[in-house]
Amino acid sequence: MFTLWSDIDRAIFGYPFSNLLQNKYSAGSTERNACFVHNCRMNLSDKGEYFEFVAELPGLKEDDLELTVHADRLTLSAKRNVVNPEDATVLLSERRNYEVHRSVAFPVNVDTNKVEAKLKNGILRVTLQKSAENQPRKIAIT
Amino acid sequence: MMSENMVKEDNTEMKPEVKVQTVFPQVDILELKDDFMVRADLPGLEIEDISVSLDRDMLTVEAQSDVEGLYPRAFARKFRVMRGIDAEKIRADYKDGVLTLMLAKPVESKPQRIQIQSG
Repeated sequence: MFTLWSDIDRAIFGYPFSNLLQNKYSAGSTERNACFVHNCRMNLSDKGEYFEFVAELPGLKEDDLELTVHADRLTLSAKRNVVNPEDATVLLSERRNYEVHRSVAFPVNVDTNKVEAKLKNGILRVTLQKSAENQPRKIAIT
Repeated sequence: MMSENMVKEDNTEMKPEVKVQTVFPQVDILELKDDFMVRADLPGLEIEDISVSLDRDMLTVEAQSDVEGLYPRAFARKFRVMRGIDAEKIRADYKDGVLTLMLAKPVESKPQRIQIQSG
């Protein structure tokens, strides 16, 4: 069951194999392409007819992102590569290269054909229409 | 046995207040030939929302982010920079949620060749 690996698990255990990744490319690594697994800020909200997923991904372009949608979950993979000008001397480097691997489960299924994703100013916004049988229905009171 | 004032409405202290968390944005500082380059992760803003100020040698970057769907928060960070940097010559660019500032080095700080005359 994929959704068992939820955000709670992640908060406790981190991303699977993150230890391996972090040992290999530790915080102080001088390796140019050092990467670490990053838990970006994100939110999923239920807007009635659709779900809205928002994630903060500064410094990423459309090509750096991979989004996969299943009826019951959304998976986001991203990789940031910070490029410095060639002749630069680095005085401070906090903006690290990172990888994001997150998955969010929906409480009800969505229509995978009605998904829109936009990336603007480092914010990814995905709207996912709920499937027809999960659409809210107004009840007429007689 | 509920006393009369066990449940009491008191709205005097209630103010519509949004708690905004202020965070240090992550930055890179690079030295180039003629400039210092400061890059900061400031996702979800417009360039007009970012305030950059230079007070003598104190550079301040501040911004308030209010992205629909995320909790609002503020970014603030100060840097002590080399004296003599001209605030008028700071160039700012905001792209993909990253602010890039180019601070031109003051002319005096560049190495200058001194002519040695014999005699």
